Amino acid sequence: MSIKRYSIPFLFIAPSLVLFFVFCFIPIIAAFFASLTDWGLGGASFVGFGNYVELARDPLFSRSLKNTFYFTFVGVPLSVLSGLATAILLNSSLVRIKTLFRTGFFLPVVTNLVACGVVWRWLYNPQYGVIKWFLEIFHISSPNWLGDPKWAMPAIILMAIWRNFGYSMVIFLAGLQAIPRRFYEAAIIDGADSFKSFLHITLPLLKPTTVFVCIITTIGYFQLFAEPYIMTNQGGPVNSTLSVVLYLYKNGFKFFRFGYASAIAYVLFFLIFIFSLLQLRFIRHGVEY
Amino acid sequence: MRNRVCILILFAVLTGCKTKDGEELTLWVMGTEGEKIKDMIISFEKENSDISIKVQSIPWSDAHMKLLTSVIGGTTPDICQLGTTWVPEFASMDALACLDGYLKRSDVVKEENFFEGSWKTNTIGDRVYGIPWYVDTRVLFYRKDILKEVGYDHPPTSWEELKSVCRALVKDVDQDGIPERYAINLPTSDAFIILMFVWQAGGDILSPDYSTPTFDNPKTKEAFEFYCSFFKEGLAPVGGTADLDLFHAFKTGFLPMFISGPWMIELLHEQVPEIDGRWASATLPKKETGTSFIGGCNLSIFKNSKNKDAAWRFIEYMSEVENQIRWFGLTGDLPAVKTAWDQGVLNVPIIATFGKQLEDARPSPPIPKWEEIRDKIEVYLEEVVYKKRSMDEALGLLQREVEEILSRR
Repeated sequence: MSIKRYSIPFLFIAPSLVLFFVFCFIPIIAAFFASLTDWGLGGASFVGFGNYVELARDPLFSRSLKNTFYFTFVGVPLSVLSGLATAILLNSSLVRIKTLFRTGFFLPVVTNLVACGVVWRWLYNPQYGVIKWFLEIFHISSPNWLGDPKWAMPAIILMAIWRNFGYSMVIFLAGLQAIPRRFYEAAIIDGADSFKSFLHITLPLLKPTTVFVCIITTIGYFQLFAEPYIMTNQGGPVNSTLSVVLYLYKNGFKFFRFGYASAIAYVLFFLIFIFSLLQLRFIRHGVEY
Repeated sequence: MRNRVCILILFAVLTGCKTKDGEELTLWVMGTEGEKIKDMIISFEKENSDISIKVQSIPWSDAHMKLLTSVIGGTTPDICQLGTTWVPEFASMDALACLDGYLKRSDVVKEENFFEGSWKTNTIGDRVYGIPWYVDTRVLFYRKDILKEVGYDHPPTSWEELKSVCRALVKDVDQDGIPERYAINLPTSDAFIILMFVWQAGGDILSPDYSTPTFDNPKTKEAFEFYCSFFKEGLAPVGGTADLDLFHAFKTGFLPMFISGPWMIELLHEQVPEIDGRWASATLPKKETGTSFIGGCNLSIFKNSKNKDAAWRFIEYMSEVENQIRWFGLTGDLPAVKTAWDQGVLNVPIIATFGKQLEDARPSPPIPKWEEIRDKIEVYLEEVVYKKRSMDEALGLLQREVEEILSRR
């Protein structure tokens, strides 16, 4: 009886479940076993945790980890904050033609990443880039953005923020609109100014949204790949923009060390896992009025 | 019911197409060459009415991945254009047909007809897995007028002369440490260019049997030091090369010399026609030798092909002297067959330089791990140029890490 009762819903979700199982779950498990072998062009044999030991000693891997942390820990707060700021601006009654701005800010999110990368490469061009031209109006000498190891990562972070803040903005907008007006009305009656009501009503009630945005952005930023792939010739200069995923790609698809690449994937997986857990801890203490 | 009839008709039409007589070959060609080769195929099919060829042109950027997946999935074409560095890789995956048998019987394709360096890119041990189609090699491009301005009426012929030309060329009028004119464009992360300097010094990066690295060879070190000195002395720009518009820089004289391949000839005529006649090409300056790098493309037959004989006939056709010349006319790709170079069209000085350079040109090490070694060289070379590491330290690390790469199975 109960089997029959539940079989219909299962039938409905079966297509996506089967696809998920075959194309997602099995490869994930298979990749773990692959990471325990030296699978490459010459076949595969079991090496235990040899790949992980090698990773721990690999200076390029630690370099790529450092770069990825740099990108994530500078990029995520900046892009979440700018998303929040624009969402609050667009939600206020001060701004006109909101739809235009909302669409405009969201446009980079849906634009092809490769196209963005190519255009930004031109903007950053050390000889005739628009950014150089703009800075020179104010007599600031422009660095060789993508050619200087010190500036290449900030340049990539800037471009990533431009591309991603629209996404967090839209989610924040939804979160803001879900806060009932009556809280603000009550606050006004109690004599709170707009800053205080932002601090005590908006921010706490946006907490679940903020956590969600942070997790999604962090996961996305940890997987930094296309930007350096397109903009800095796969991680240059001097590997200052070599990210973990780029290093994984190089090992897997240029050097054909599938086992080693799988091990990198698993390290990245655990990193993202740990950071998502940490962020989720904050949501536990939710605020309800 | 009606649907079923439709399907039946469709089926009949589709299978009907297949009943053409003779053999059908599939051919994968990269980039724009995929379009241009159609001319050659039409004439080939005229001469060989029993063979029809289906070309699929693949963009260069996807080509490698697509080939890999086709090898793993067993959907390889009959013939494919392969970059010279790819042959060892696909041969080691046991995907290519060995051509020794065909070679023995052929009157057209003979080892001695091809440039030695180019032929070597196709051999693993003493077995042949591909036939050179066209070649490229790197030479020096320079601005005749600017060199004359600083007192040189000929291109540099030796390392010493290259250095003194460069010192004469570099110009920093306002003395701010950023020259208005550099001397030469050298990439900070391109293993091929440094490799040529190593060969010229009489050194190498791997032992002749490719089993051990030789970065500890004093001649190899000399070449690395010579190369890096161009950056240290401010003769070549550091890092700017990635987003530099070379054509513009060559036109304005910001960079009056660079090292590149035959594709630049047409591009220079096209992009900066204003300076036609004011630039020329020259063979590379010599130390012990003036060795350059040889690249290009080969044609290989895949092991799974069912029409190997027909495929071989196409390869023979492409290796005939008149077709090599025709292909040069269509694309500007340099002939791999030596006798083709005696023909008039190739006797223009700018192009003849390449013919001369090809006599002294070597391929990159024909081992599948070359990609990985190349990456390591680029990493450490760049670190030295950017002064993140000393030369001795970098070469020591290179020696150790490449040893590790080679010792892996």
